[in-house]
Amino acid sequence: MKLLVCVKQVPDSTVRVKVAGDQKAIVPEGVTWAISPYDEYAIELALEHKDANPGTTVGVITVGPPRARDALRQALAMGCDDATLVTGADVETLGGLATARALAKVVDEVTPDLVLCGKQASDDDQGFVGQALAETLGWPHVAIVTKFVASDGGTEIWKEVEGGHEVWKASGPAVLTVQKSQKDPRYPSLPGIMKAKKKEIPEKDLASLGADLGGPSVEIRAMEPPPARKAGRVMKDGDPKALAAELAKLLRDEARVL
Amino acid sequence: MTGMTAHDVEHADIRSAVGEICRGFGDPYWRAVDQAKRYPVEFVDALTKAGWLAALIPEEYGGSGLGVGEASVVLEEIQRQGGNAAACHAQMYVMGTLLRHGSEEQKRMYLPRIASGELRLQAFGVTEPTAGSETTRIQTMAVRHGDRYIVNGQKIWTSRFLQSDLMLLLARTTPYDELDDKTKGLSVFLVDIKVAGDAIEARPIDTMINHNTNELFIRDLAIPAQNLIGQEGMGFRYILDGWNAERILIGAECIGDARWFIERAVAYAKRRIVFGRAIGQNQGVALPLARAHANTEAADLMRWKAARLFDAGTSCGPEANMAKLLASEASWEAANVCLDTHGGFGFATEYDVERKFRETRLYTVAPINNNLVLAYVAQHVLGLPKSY
Repeated sequence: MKLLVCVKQVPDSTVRVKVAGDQKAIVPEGVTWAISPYDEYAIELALEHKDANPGTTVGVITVGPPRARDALRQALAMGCDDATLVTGADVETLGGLATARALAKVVDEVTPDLVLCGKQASDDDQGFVGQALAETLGWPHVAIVTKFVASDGGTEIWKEVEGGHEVWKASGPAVLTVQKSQKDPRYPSLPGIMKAKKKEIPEKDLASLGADLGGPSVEIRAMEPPPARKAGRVMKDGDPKALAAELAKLLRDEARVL
Repeated sequence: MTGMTAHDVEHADIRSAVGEICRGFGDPYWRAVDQAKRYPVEFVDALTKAGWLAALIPEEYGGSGLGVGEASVVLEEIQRQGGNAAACHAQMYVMGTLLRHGSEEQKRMYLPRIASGELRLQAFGVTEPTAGSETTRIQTMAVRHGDRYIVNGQKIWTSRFLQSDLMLLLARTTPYDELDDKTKGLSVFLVDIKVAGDAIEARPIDTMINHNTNELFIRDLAIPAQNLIGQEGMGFRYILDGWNAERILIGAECIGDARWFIERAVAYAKRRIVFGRAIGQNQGVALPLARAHANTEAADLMRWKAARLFDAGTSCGPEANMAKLLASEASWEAANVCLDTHGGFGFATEYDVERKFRETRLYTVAPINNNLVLAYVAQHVLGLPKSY
């Protein structure tokens, strides 16, 4: 089976992002970049399939700026077989639909059996590209996927639902958007890192793919950081009984947690 | 990456990948295993699965074939992130004796399984209650009977025995009095711990740190003659070979510890306000931190000098020993400065300073006491008369 995982490089979840002066983007300086967490689960799902079915190949692709090459290198170090970077001018402001159309061009070329994406990226949480990719390709799409297995004439796909899961079946190629599963994504291994360093990561020019990069899009009008938390109040002077009564009153009337 | 050599890039890759694993095992994890005196099995498993403990095993035997310099970066990073590599560092380097002196058959049989983590070889029975640093005086005796050796004796401070599948054992094969050259007459054996069964009784020693170490009582342990490593009687030479690598790797752990202490202390000194200003503004707090930093950087230079000599296959006894001496002193200095900076809070377990403080104290004493390093330098580098 040939699998293709689409990933997005996003600010690492431990980074405190700062909003830029124009309030339309974050300040990129000092940001540590990482593969979006749900995309890591998609990689893990693909690699588990490869572990169990040695004939499987796992490719990984991203549409992004040159720094996104590090995300691909990380995916190779985890055990993916090959990686492709789609990049070009204005790639950082590319909308979700244009990204999906660019990915679709590469999918046409690579002809994978399944395409896996994280269910949403952790930077904008749009949850859009995977579904738009399925629509562009004319392929079926299954969301919130936690497992898949090859079965007679297709693929059985586990889709999480409240309190359990449903098993869907795709008879041909499909796009799966992957949910967090019980098994955490593997760490890049030392042999994997060494192999990944030797691998070429071919680059495709976004403008030369022939994808329609226009069409409806969204524009970020403004970003603002969450409001600073107010300092807490310390109550220490006075009779403990009176303080307790005062605290209960504040919790009920002011904080409204009682 | 401008200005970095290819070598530096590789070190950055190692730090980043090991750091990622370590971030999954933060302060609360290490605090909990320390308080329960529990082996950090989850951390060791993660490190093993990702292949880090097989860094020094050549690729042809299933490892990654890195040098001691690179391996030292792995251990340094674990300490720098607040972890305790002592739980598993020996899985990296104990196999060195087997690699350098074992037969091709022994290497093919064991190294790939050590590399995969299927077999844990992280115990080395050397020290005895009556022969601390005077290794040539050990009394545990291995007597050959046909195609096997029968071993009787006692070992102490055999770390990670209960977390190992295999152990290297140094035993006497010629009585001391019959030797002209007192450095001969000892041999190294590979012991399969499961097969040994009741012939080795391990009594765990409770220590001030979460370190799994034991006293071993060996009674009529039968070891197949094919498990002798190298030549009979040459064991002391073989273990000397391994000591330089161990010194460098432990030195790197101390550097990691020192950096952890200094980073924590600096962060605390910046945020702790007393008398209306950050305590780090007081020179009584700042200058000891600056000195600890300078001493750490200086020790790190010796660590790298030793590592580069080792990896170039050049003799590095003085440098490896001095690296361990200077790095363990630097980490102990940094530990004290960190504790002083934190004041009373440094004693609270939730700050992790007291745990690291106890842990790093080990390295001025083990795997070799710093006084013995100084005695070695005095005698072998400066040519002074032997003092013991």
